[in-house]
Amino acid sequence: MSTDTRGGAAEPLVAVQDLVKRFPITRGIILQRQIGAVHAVEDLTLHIARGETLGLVGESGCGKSTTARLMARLVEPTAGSIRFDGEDITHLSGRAMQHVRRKVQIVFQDPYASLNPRQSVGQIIGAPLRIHGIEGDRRRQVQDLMEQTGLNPEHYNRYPHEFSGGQRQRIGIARALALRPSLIVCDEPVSALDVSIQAQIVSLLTDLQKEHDLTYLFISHDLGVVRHVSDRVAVMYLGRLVELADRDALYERPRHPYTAALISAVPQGTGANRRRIVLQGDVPSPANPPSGCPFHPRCPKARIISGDPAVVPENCATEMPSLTAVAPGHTAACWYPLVPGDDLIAAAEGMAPEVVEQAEEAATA
Amino acid sequence: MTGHIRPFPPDDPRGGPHAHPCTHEPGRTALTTAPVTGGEEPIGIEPATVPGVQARTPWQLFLMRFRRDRLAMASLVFIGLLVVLAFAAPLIAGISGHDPNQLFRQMTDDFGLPKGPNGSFWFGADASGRDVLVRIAYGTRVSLIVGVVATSVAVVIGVTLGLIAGYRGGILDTLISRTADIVLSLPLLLFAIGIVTACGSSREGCFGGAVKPGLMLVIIVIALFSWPYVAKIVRGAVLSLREREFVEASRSVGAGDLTIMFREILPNLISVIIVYASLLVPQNILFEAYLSFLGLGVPDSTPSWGRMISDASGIFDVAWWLMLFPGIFLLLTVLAFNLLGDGLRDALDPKADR
Repeated sequence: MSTDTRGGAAEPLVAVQDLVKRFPITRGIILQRQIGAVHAVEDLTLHIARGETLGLVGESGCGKSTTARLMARLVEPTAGSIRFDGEDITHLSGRAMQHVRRKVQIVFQDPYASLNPRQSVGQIIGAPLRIHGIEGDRRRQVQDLMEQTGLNPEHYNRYPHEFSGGQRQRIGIARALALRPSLIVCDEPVSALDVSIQAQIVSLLTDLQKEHDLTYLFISHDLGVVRHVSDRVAVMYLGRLVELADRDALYERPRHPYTAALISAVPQGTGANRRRIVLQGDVPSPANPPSGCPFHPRCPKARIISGDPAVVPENCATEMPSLTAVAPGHTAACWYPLVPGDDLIAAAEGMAPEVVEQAEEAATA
Repeated sequence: MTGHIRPFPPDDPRGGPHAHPCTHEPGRTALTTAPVTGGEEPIGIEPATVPGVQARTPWQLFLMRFRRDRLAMASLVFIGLLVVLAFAAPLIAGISGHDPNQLFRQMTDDFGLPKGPNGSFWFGADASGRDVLVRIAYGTRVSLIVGVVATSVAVVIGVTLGLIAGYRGGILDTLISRTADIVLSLPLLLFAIGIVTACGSSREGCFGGAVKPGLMLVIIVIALFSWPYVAKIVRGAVLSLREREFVEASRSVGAGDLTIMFREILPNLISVIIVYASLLVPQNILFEAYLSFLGLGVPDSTPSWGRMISDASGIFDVAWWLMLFPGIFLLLTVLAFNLLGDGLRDALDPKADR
């Protein structure tokens, strides 16, 4: 978790290209007809460099967790490719996939659901060692892992219900660490925990990263935590990546209007009565995403360009902007990236909820 | 619909960013106040246990709750006594000197009616002059063997098929579930009678001699009609368990389908299976009694409660003991297993008080 960013130059550990995941919506009991699809992830392209932490933020339902499961190959991609360490793992299975599983591990959000209540801690952490037939004194190896993750090795025979949320998450981390992976996908690893415990788990993750030279994909809806741990940050909206930049650049000079709105919603601790960009409307349904830029029905910047709250520029409504470089190492998927002086707050306030609804109806019709 | 949306409502239960300590300061110090791993007290401010407080395993918790249930404990003791009685049947026959199939002329009168309980025939004699007590003791063996073995067979079949149907889904699920539905919709007693008659009519049995008439046939018939109950319950439980995150976690570390089914999911079904099996045992004991009552159960030379009640049905107005004693044993046994099942369910229910 160094401050310098290492991206681009060397071969990235993970290279995701145009990844798509759609979940079919079916109707009928015997003959299931597909009547639509939830566009969970659309055209996702990103790289993760060795040793870096890539933060991934977005609202609930924007495809973050699906992305995590795609990376860990827990769900099959609909299209696109995932390359890990130079090897195409998109559709690997069987023995070859077992090899990749050793290198890619996942830490889950809910430490209560992700541990089998009928297995002791020793069994849970030892499972990956057993499955991959790793030699050696298993009890010792597991207790080593427990010590590394801040658990008492004497609790080897205890059951998950005897632990607190934070300790359970440590068990989950120890399990992910057991196979000495190079990439750990952290799917909202602290979101289910108390704030005081969040800090401990985050610092455990950073310590482990230094110690074991780990690469993280760190997914969270908590912008504060992501800012703390990440080298680079990616923002998702409705299954698409809308902006990707170095941490400080993203937080200080966001170029996508959605990112700007998201960051403005982070509460400040100073007590200053700061005004926020209040977006109108709800996130559209991923089963029926808007045409063009998925954000355009709610976008205040589009209204600045058109000069009329009821009108959006034509390319916003019809064409999907691709991720393009707006600065070195900074990409945004927007036809009109933010420039200094854009008053998004005023533009957003000028938009009536009906306007957003109308725009959405027009875009999804 | 509210007029605006905020990405993180302040009341977001997952901990909105407003509460986060580092949002006002981009620096990293705010979050690193937590104890570093590997220290003397590695748990920091999340103590798992207070010294001196013994953590209980799920098994200990179960025993503790079960022991408090008096009815279930009494049932368990009663079932224990039945098992002793079943084993001790030859002993009772030896002590009383009455073989279960021995005919005692002195116990029938000139009209062929049996005589009631007396000093050496505690439960009286039946119409052929056989000792009812000794026959009840031997009948316990049949009832328990049929009840336990038929239930075990049904549980093994039901759990395996239920696991496959619930876990794999798709065409296998359809196949297994519909088969279960069909078996459940068959007129049970009618089919049982048909199968037993077909297989029991000759010494060779049916299916090329694979199924011989007698105890084995009764067990197979009963198991055939009870596995769908187990399969359906297991399938339902698996459907919800397989969506749990720990199954996904297991897959992410490389576990295969068999490992997930038998190591991750099956242990979570144990309590459901135990409870259901203990409720299925009395049902199957009764089933055997029905079949024997209809003369389709075990051969006449093997004493069985159902057949004894059947034999008594013609003359119970003059020989009450023929109906009463086997009836009481059947009633109490079925009741005890049912109460045991209820007790087990209460003690194994994870939602119960701890």
